[in-house]
Amino acid sequence: MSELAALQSAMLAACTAGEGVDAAVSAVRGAGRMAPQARLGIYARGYRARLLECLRGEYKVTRAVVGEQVFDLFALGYIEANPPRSPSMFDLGARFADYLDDTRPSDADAIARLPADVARLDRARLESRRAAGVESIPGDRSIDAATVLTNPELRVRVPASLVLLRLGFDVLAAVAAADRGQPVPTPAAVDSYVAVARRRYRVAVHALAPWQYALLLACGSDATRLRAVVAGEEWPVVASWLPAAVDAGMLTTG
Amino acid sequence: MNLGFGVGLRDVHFSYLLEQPPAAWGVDWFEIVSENFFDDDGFAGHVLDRVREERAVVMHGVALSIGGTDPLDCDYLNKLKVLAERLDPALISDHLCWTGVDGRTTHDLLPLPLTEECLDHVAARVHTVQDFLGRQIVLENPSTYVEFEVSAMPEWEFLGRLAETTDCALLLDVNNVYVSAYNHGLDPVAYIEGIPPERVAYVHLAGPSDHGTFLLDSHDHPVVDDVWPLYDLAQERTGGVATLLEWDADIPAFPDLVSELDRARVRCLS
Repeated sequence: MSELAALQSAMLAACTAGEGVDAAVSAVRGAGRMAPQARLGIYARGYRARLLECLRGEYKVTRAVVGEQVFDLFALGYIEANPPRSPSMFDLGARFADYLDDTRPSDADAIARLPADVARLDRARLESRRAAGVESIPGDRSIDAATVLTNPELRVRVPASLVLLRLGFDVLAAVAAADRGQPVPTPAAVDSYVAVARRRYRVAVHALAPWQYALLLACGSDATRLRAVVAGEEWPVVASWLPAAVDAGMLTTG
Repeated sequence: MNLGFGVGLRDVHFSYLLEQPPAAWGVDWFEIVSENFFDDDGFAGHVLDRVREERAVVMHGVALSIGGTDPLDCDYLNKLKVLAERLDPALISDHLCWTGVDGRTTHDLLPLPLTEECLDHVAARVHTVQDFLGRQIVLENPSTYVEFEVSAMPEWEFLGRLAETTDCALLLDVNNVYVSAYNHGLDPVAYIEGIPPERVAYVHLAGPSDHGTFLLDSHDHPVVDDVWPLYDLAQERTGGVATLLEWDADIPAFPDLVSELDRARVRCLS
């Protein structure tokens, strides 16, 4: 290892984990108004604060649901277990929901699953915001139920900005309250199906019926002939819902 | 090429920029944080494309890690190149720093030991990056809070020799000069006089926060009074280069940001 690489390893350890401090301190000049350890401490505090602030910003509903102190404990534990490796800050929180699931005590009550579920929703909203959406699809347009019913060859596809979730809690009221900055009600424990979709660059969370969730799952990112994934007897119900789904950015005919 | 007076493109200003006619923006160009627009096909990318139709854009990165000892990140460089092909930026800049090692990153701009070994190491990587991108890159002096025992030359000499060796350009952040000089007891005027003026592509301005024993490069305040004479000196020595005002926390409304930028504009006109 070169001297430069050794110095960088020592400084990284000192600034991220408080380890290897002696090696880093001995490499730092102590002249002036601050000792080497205090100077390294600026970087150490900055590292922790920067990553924590990123997670706080990306997991706003989770933070509102569990409270600021508990959230920070979760977030700092996650950062320690999953130190960043990507040059993009967007990737920092990618595994946060999995971390919350993995570290939940096995004998915990069902409510202990809530933070991970809400974190999945927060992450889905972030991913939907950045993904390619219907805004850039030239042929995307609204449709009506009559068009759906009278066009047996109708093809649809889901945009990359659609994220589907199956959660153990009804989180919609919590999302709405957190977005308004109001006190967040504790979500009820109930199986729920959710679509996070974007239209005109606005991301919204939609509650789905199980059959709607299954239909969207069946429609891939390639154009899918709708008749191929919908049973005949379901057709009128699908036709009446599809215009709203298209208008919400869950599907496109483009 | 003097781009004029610009500000950083930040999401809190997206709606304002879309609502106001470009003639009313009051800025000549925008600087983006390159990584924030990698793989973004959403609203941010949409706004960036609209802005680029109206103004020059400079891509300013924070994760190149030109001084790092891990191999250069090919995936990162590819994304940088793809974004550059989309935007045709006036300049591509980053920092004289390293951001991580052993596969980890800190998302910070960490200081380098100013040694002959390190200069050779950084120069080789600058050559590689410039060859890959097919263009000159611009490197900025970072704010620093530590100096290393092994350092054998001042930072301005390191930067000047790096520019001479690699033909890269320099981004002179006069606020960073002020912050580092304060933190290390150095003379900021001597720093700016030591930078080869013909290598300076543009200048950064920002406001630090005062933590008593040290200054932090927090980009959350107006430019402090002591920095303006350094800015004047930089403009005088370079013969006039583009100016970029950075503001990344407690960001004011866009018109207030432009008012702060206009302080620089007025100084250059007087």
